[in-house]
Amino acid sequence: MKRIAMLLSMCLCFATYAIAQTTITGKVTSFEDGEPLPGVSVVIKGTTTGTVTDIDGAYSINAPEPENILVFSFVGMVTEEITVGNQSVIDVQLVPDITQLSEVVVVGYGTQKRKDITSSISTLENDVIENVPANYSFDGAIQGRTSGLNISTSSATPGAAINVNIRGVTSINASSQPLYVVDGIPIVTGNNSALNANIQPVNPLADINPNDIESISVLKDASAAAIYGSRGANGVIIITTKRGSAGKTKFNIGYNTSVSKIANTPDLMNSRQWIEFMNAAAEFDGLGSNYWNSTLGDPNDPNLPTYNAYDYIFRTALAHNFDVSAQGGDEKTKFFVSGNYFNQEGIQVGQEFERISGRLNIDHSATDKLGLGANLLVSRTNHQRTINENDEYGVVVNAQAWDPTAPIIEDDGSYANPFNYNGWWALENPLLIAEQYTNTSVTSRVLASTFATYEILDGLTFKSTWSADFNSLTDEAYIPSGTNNSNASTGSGTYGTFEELAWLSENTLTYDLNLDGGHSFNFLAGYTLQESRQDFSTVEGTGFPSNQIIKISTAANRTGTSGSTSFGFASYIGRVNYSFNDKYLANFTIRTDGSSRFGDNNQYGTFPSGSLGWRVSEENFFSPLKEVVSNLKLRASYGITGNAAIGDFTWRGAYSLTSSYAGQGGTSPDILENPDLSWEKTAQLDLGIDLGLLDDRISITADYFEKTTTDLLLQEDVPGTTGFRIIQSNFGEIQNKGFELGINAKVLKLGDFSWDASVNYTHLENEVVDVVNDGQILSRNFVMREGLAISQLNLIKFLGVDPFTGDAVFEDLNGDGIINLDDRQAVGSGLPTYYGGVSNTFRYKGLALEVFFQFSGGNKIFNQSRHAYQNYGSLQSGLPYGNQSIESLNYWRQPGDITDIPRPSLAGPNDPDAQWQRFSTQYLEDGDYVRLKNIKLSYNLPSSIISKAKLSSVQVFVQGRNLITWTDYLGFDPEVSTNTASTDDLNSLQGEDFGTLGQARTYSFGINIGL
Amino acid sequence: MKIKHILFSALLFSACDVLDQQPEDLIPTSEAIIDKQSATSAVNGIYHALQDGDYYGGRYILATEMVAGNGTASAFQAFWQELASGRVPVSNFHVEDSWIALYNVVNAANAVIEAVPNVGELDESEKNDMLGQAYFLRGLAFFDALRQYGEFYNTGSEFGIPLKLQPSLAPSETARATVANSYVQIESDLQEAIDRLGNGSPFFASQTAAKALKARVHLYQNEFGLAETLASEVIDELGALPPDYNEIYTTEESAEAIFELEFIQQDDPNVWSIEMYNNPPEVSVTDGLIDFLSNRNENERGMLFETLGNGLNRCIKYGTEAIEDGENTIVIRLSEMYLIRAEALGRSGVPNDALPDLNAVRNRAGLTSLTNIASDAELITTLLNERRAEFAYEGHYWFDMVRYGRMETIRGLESFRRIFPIPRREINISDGTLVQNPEYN
Repeated sequence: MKRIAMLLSMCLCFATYAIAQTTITGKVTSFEDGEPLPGVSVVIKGTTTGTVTDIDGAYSINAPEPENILVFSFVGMVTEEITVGNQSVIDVQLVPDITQLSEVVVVGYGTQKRKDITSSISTLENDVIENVPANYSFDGAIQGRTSGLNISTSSATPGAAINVNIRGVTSINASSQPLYVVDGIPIVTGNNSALNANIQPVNPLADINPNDIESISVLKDASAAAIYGSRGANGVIIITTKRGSAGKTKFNIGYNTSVSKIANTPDLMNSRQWIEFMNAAAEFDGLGSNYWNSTLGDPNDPNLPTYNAYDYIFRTALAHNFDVSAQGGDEKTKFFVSGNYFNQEGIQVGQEFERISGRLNIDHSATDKLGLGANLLVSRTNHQRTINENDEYGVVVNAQAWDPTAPIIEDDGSYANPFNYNGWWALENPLLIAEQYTNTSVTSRVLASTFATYEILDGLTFKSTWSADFNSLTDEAYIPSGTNNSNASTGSGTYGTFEELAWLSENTLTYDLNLDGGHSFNFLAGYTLQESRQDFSTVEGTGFPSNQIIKISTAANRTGTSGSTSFGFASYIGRVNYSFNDKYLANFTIRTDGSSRFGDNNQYGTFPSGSLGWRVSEENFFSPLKEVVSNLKLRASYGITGNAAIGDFTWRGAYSLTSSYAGQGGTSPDILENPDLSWEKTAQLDLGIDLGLLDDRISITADYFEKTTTDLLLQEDVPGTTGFRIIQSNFGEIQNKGFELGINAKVLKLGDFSWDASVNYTHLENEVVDVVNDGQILSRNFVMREGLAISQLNLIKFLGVDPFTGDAVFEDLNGDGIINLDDRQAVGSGLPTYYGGVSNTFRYKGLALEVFFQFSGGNKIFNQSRHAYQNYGSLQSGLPYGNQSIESLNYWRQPGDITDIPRPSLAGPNDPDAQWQRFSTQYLEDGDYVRLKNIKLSYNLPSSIISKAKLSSVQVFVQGRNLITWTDYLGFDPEVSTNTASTDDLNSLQGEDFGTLGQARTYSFGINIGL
Repeated sequence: MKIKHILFSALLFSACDVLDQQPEDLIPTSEAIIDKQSATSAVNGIYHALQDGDYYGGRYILATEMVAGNGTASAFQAFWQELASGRVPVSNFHVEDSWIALYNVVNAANAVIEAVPNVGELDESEKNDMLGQAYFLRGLAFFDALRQYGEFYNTGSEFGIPLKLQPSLAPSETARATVANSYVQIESDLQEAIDRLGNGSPFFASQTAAKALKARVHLYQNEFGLAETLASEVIDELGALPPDYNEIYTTEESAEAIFELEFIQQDDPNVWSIEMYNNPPEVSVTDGLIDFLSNRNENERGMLFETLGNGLNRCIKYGTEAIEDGENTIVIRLSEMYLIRAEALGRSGVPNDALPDLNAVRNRAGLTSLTNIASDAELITTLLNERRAEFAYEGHYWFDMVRYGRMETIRGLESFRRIFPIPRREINISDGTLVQNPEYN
């Protein structure tokens, strides 16, 4: 999002003295809020004479000649040049630099002006990240904000990992998540919690306070990302945090609070409907009428209770966010310091996320040539999660299948045991799971870096950065004794630790060279080293004397493991940017990476890229069009990036040392050797156009891309007669192609009123071109097939309900007369094929209203939860399978009925005549949706009021998030369908929804005070 | 500039270091079996492979009970439902995982068989002991693979199993041998074991265990004389049946155990409790088996089967609680030798020749002696039922009904379903080297 466009407005006080003055004085203020701007550089053009404004924005400078030109420049503001003439007082208002062309964009290992960029890079400013209600990490906040970036929040669990793909899924077994770089440092983003079995993984990005972020750059094409070489194939997200500027120390205090509830719940039958439905099933089976009345109750009994488990597991959740920051300094030393406390309750009982973090960023100019700096983030997070997605003991699925005639809480206050009631589901009281099963992860994070820059010669700068990313995590989990989860009949506890230390050294030389005739070069060469070591341990215990004390030391039986792993990278980088007359642009990068993860034969990989740009609008022949087309740039880039995001020790043939038997140590074959293991390579072509219309009132960026990933890092199936299942290898090809469109428009500006709009849209096609085992079954419901997109659902085809018999009819694919899993076929992918967002911002004086829609679709979702709560009367072990969706009421009643819901029947899964539902397309649904994602109404109090209170700014705002969702999806929410348990699963198993916790609708109120 | 020079040199030097990362819980294959300690560990590792959940950790046995009609799928897993139906799809998870688990044992044994003769630190008797164990375990895995995936009931069939005899260092496929050649290899492995091994704890392979297994292998080929000889040798070594039928399920290393796979908490847990003692259990005992036992007044043997409040039946031979230290799996025990000898004598001579050994087993279980078996057909029925009662949930009933030719009548399945399909995954990636079993597609 761009800030509101404002017309340049200078307030020049024209003095009429005829006599030349030598001393000019004046005051520099901000056009936006009229505040004085300290630290603004005021220089006489073409000289070294200059000064800076003081705390009140005032300056004084000697300008002997009337033809002297004063240059006022300040970071983030448009530089102004004013000829002195005969003035003695020159007051200036600087306007924010919001035009795209002069915008400085953070790129890999440096910055570039937007106009010089020849690759595909999107930028996001802090206003879309700051103060987004109940958003624990920035990645959730930027969803839908820019093209090419597909983000899905897989669960409303606060602090949980979020799935991010830039321009598609490029891998099968290696990660397809982007590389995150914070202030130049690639950071650790893996889930280190050992509790990830069917519990939402923790999100290490939640360690970062979103309000510390100044801007985000998204490097999408090969030309932009190739400087990150072997880790650039999935794109790069560069985060730049706030830094201080010289002048009066500014304080900012912010607080916001929000209230969240589950946005939508699929409707279930009440007790009367359910019993009538079960009776209908019995009647169809020839068991007579009112078959279930004696067991389940009389449906016509007016006192028949209905217990809705949703009412117990969901709650109105509160979140608080408190920020305080200060920034300032002088010309030599600048600082930014902040503290944050964030606490978010989950909308489901048992979930909570808490963060305390602090940041200190310092820059110091030791001499004209030597600069020093340091960044420090310290944070601690506490994730309280519950078993949910993809687990039979998940809170949500047990609530949905809950026998509606059974209470949740017994009269004596205890948790009702579902086994004392009449549903085969639930397996456990969902409230008991939510409240009594413990799953807590606490992380401590220190992200520290120091850097020095030294200007060796004019234009030649050396920079050295040393950093450490330290992450320590403690897991504690407990399943109480006496619960139905019989893994824990005597109590089952887990305590785990994980410690990761990654250090990085980066050393670069940059050289700016401008030659006569309009040739300008920027060179970068560098060398980086990185090493990471991870140590972990887990102890588990069973047989606890008390559910109150869950420390493993009290357990009767204890087992434990510990382990470690490590990796290293050594890399060389180089880049040349070339510009000729500001019209013809070229960029070439190369990176050579060595990685410990690859075989001796292929330890190093080289990743080149190049891009060209032509600023057509700068050509002389174009000038007649400039009235209408203010900017036109054509771009083309091509390059190769790599992916190394696999396990650390997968290439060498090895025995596992953990194969003990009968109390004696043992070893057994574990890894099949592949000395040729190498990088996964992604070749990407990008053709782009940047267009500015009507003096850039409308700016359009469009890109076409083709990403071909080969030598996939693949757990290639090997013949089982070897004794192995897989070998880590390079084989296969995946292609992603599509186009992206971004439009920003200043639609209207009338006096104090303005209306800005922005739209982004991405269309994406994914195809598995070549794999070893075409048709490989990846889990029960997924397959990998050449010619189709990855995350391909593999289901039995439901042909409908026979209007004469009411039976569900399935396609017998192999014609063997039996419907079973051999009849599955590819039925669509869980990956969206289009997504984007639309934002409109209206401003009037201090008031601003932003309305933001986000959409996504083209994907399929297998709504497996319906298998539990929509199984048409079937019995399991003589019990009704579970409660039913109200959708089931539309069941087949008599010959001739046309419906998708078959005749209910009590026959169970082992009965050949059962209406028992299969893993079939019956539960396959479209994932398309449009969401009113965010509305924010903010008001900046006028300075006339706040100045009396000695405040520099006061903003109050209200926001609503996930307000309305338009979708045909029958589950909680179409966005919940992503399984985030592992990086592999994120690639190839997207699109399954089993007991996923739906999205939250959130309202928030906040205030920001500037001092 | 000098400082920078030094700095760069330091960085370049350390590049080699960051790329040289060594795993700390893995050992390179080439260094896996080089001295006495590592060789001992590699032998232990074969047993660990045998403990796999898809093998003697439980599912290999449970799968046979499911297809035999002794078990029913009472929870979620579709692969159990498929097995319980008897119509097992080529993509069944158990069919797929068990194949790999079996050959994992073969590969671990092959590595020991190849490497141990060259370990200088070992003396001859140590080498023989290690090699004997490896041969026994490989023979067992080949035999179990043959029973599950090959036409083991027909020695004239070409549908045997791949006989992989070298350690796997790179991906490669092995074609199927004939059934006859498969048996030749199994017998040869077991004979190697008999020749090299002594006797000790039933937790480890022994000469007695190798003889006992070889007796079973001969019986499956209707080689009654050889089966009888070996069974008799084992009976002579171990003596009479212990009086208490239940002792073997409650006591580790009981007198009856010939080869007992030991599970302790430190090992990977077996899956008995995961599959049978969870709530709801994936695998439950069918009413058919409960009725069968109660109709026979099987008080002793029936004690190990119980009906729960939810109407489901379960077998408690492997525990009762979800979390146990891990109950052991009995792979071979003494009463089988009596029943092998009974069958060998009865089927090679007259049916009543089977009576003494049959009755020894019956009497131990508190049943009266049989006095007359009227015909060959009745002998088969008697043997099938005695073995079903004696070994329920120990993985015999399915193979017995198949080799007796009774599967089709008892289970009502097509004949080709006497054996499992080769997994679709294996057929897919074998480029035609592996041939699917007849009528599976």
